Amino acid sequence: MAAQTLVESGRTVLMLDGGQRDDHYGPLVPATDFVTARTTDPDQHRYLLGDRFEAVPLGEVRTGAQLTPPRQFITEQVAKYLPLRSTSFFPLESLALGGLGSGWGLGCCRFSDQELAQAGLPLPAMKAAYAVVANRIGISGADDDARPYTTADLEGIQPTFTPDPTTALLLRRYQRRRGQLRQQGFHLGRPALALLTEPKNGRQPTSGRDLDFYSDTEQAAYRPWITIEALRRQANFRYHGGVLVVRFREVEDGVEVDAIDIDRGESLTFRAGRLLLAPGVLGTARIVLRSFGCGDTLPLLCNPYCYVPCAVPSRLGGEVPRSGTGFAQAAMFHDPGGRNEDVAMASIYGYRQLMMFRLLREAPLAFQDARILFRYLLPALLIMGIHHPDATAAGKSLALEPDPSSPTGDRLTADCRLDDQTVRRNTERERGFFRAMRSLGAWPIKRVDPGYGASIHFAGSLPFDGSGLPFSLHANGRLAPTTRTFIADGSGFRFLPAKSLTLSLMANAHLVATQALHE
Amino acid sequence: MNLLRGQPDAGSKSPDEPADVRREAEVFGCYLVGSPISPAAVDLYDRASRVRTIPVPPSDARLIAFMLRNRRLVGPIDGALALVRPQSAVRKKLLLMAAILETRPEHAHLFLPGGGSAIGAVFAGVRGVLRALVGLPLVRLI
Repeated sequence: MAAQTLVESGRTVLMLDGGQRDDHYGPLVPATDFVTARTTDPDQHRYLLGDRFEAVPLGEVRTGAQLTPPRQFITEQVAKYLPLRSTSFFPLESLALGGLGSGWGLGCCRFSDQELAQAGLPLPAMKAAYAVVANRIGISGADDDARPYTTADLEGIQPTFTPDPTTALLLRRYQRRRGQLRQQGFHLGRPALALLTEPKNGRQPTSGRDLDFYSDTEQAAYRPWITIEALRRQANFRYHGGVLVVRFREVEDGVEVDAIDIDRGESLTFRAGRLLLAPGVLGTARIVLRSFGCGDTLPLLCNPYCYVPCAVPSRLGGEVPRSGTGFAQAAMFHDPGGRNEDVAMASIYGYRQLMMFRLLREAPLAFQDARILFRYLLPALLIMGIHHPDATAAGKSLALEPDPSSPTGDRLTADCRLDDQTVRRNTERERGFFRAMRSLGAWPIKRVDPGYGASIHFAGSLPFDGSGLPFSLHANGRLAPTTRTFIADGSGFRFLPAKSLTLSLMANAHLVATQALHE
Repeated sequence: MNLLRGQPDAGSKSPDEPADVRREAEVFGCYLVGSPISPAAVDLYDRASRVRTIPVPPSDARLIAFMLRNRRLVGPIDGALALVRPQSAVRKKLLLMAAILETRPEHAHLFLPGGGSAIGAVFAGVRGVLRALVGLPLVRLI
């Protein structure tokens, strides 16, 4: 988003990017729907399991284990070039072309005015930035009880898609219990997604192939590579993929950036008038800590997250339509005060695209019996992913330590522990979500804690505070005490709402780029 | 194990001969879907076993040999291991076979959601428990 803003302003832009992409599996995915592919394609194992059968979970399940073979490029080269040591923090990072956006869940939420203020983001400017980004990427959604927490007052929202039958049943039951649930602070509706349901800028609307986790060919789902490919057709934009930015230094009339060529291991140096960093919070922390050459620790924000499979008994053994999408089908918000400032969010998904084998080993039954049970259970299964907001607190920090085996000579360490009061509060809130789901006829089966970091929502390592002290940001995103370096990712956020984060990251990137132009 | 990239376990080795692997595929596959599996599925399991090597400790090797000789007891041993050793090499091999069968067009309908009946599901649950009860002493003895 930042690059697009700069290019559209007429500036000459060089983008340095990890640049990992999939050229192997994508072309194998047929131009048909999921069920047809499953029942007719003799080579489906190649993109469903991988040529090295890498999708079959034979070991410990880690963050990102759900990535399908065509999406595994997202973590390519990460273990080598972005090493991290922690026993309490399990994030996912990426060197993909366009970063983690290559696999984001498309959820779009505008932070409320109160949340923007808590995060240290300027209200009127962010409001305008949200509109710019929404127009660029295309968002679909519904005008229902979720809307105040998703797109709110954003205009130009496309109609939402048809929900799967189990979610449709949940939504109908919500209408009958709406008053009671809203009184308890729960609001259910359709999610706002960066998923087109109408054509836009040469991109096609979703056709309901239900192969979203395997293929981007329709471009109905917004991915950053779509913007990058469009920018590459502009004369004032140059893309340099396959590089890892290591550090920067400001010189008399510009900024020098040291990088490593990922394929050849060679050191490279680039020079520019201004530098906008947006590799993601953990990547930015590495670069800034190296560049300032000191052993400080940085704070961190990360949404606590768990997921809960739920069964809707009346849908057991039910029909599953051929058409569908694997993205979130519904969104439930918990806003106990009704002020849209302390909100937890649950995204609700069906389960089909990710295949039965990922579930089979979770059942304490012989595989043959588990297969029969899951066929019966899957139409009734909903997965509820609950995100909690996160505020600055002691016990969450990042640092760099020497690591001679790393190409950069160091690795990131993370120590992240939630205090007891936060854990108790989140647990109580989750119980509320369970009660709300039960009241809608969806029975929670098991709470799964994938570990802190699994939300893949990070922020707050270089907070906006205007003090001018090192490791903080000015209000316009400029890194103190530099004069030409701006941080355009979520590093500056002082508070991390539980809502889907990416729309706000993109809006902030656009805003920082705009402000960098004018400083 | 780097799960995300699916690299083989460092230092792992397989004691299996190719013929054993193909026999494993036929027995495990037939158990999982209730009928003989296609040659293509056997070929895939053969290939997968070479790419995703599963280290087999002696106790699991004895169980596999027993299962290949006694097809009717594959289910009970699988059911017992699901309770007491869900990460065992036997279960990993069965999971690998199940994943392969799920991606074969001729078997896909057995894995697609929707279908089956409440009676069938209850039967599977009850059978699963009974199988585990039968299999537990076998797992301890073999």
